[in-house]
Amino acid sequence: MMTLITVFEFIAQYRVWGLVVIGIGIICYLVRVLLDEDRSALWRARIYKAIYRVSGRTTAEKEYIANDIASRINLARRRMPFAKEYLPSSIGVQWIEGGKGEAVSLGNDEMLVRLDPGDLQEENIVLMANALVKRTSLAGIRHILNSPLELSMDMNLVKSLLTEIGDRRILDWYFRNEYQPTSDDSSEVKKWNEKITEIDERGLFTRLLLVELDNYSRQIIGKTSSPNMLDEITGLVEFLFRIATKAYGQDVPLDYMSRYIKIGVILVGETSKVLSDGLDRYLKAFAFAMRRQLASIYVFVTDKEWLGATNPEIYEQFVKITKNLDKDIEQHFQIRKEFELKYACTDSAGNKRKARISRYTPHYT
Amino acid sequence: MKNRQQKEIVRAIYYKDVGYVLESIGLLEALQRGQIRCGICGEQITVNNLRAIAKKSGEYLLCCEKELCIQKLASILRQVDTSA
Repeated sequence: MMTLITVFEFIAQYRVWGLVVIGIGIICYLVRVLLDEDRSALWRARIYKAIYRVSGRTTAEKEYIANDIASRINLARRRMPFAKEYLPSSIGVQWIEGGKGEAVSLGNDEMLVRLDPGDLQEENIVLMANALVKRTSLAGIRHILNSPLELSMDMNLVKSLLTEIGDRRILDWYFRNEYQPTSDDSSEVKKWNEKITEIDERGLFTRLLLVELDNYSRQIIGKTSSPNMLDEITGLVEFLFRIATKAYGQDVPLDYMSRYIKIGVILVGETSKVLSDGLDRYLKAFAFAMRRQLASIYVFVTDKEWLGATNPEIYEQFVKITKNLDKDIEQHFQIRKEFELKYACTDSAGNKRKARISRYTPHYT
Repeated sequence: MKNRQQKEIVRAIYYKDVGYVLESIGLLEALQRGQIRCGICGEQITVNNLRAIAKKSGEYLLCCEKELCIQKLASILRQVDTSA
């Protein structure tokens, strides 16, 4: 309502020029929608939904279901905090033409899924989110994973995807009908799911674990799977779980070295240490990680969000110093910065934190 | 820089077309006689509780709408067929 009033005030003030500016704005928006496949699908879904509500036509319902699923899942996927690539890839729904006399062909290892009416779209979206995650994520390592670990990773990926859709009805349906029953179904699934959830809550699931697993899958292409490979992956999950649940002052291992996974994590989170000692200790830790010939080094910076409210000066100082860390690393070491992602999370004690994770790959001569 | 990957196309059956699709693959009569069971849990499949149809090693596998059954069916489809 406020926006509408502002628009009218704008037009009243600038008259013709106001209309021209607003017209250009609308045209720009429409061009943006038309050029963006997922956004235009979202509009198509809305239009077909309205047609279906009025006419009850089957073709309109099918178009609504297909466009709504594709647009909501694909737009959510784009918002997911993946590091370098979209994982899982986008989805499209193709209806099987099932009219009388139509021949249905089904290839080997292919699956057709029955979708529910448009009124039960939550179920359809959850079903398709599951299908997308299972078919496109964790490529190259699914044959190595044990079933409970695979299921836990899938469940958390689907949960992240559905969270990004931002519709609580869909999440409610998923938790009530799938997530909780699956998690409670076996103690092994429950155990792995708790670990993956903790890792995810610190923001390290999509930003670190999946990045490393994707990297791992590239390294083992063409190699016969062995129990050692599963041990490598479970070892990585355990390593990250210990970091994710680290208590204040507790020492945990900060590098993980197996045959194909060699990573280090530098934690920057203690305000007093950063303010009193500066960045030297972290640069030394980085140099130590380089000496150990690690394949990738993550710098994980967390600051106490409440510090900004209680002591803005110290908070500003902390932010300024930690921002310099990135420059110093690039200046002192032969590395390539792969990405830097900023986000908000809670620590293991439940405190709100702002976090930043950067991935560096060193060059060794 | 994020890359857009290829689109994953999922083939879907409209709920009103389930009968036609089953007829087309020659399973409708058996289903109406109550002879088709979920390939995972063994529950009798009806037009209303059918969730997925898959083909493995030339054989049709039908699955009911339980989430665990769909997950298991997806796993089975991913397994490499070594029987040939």
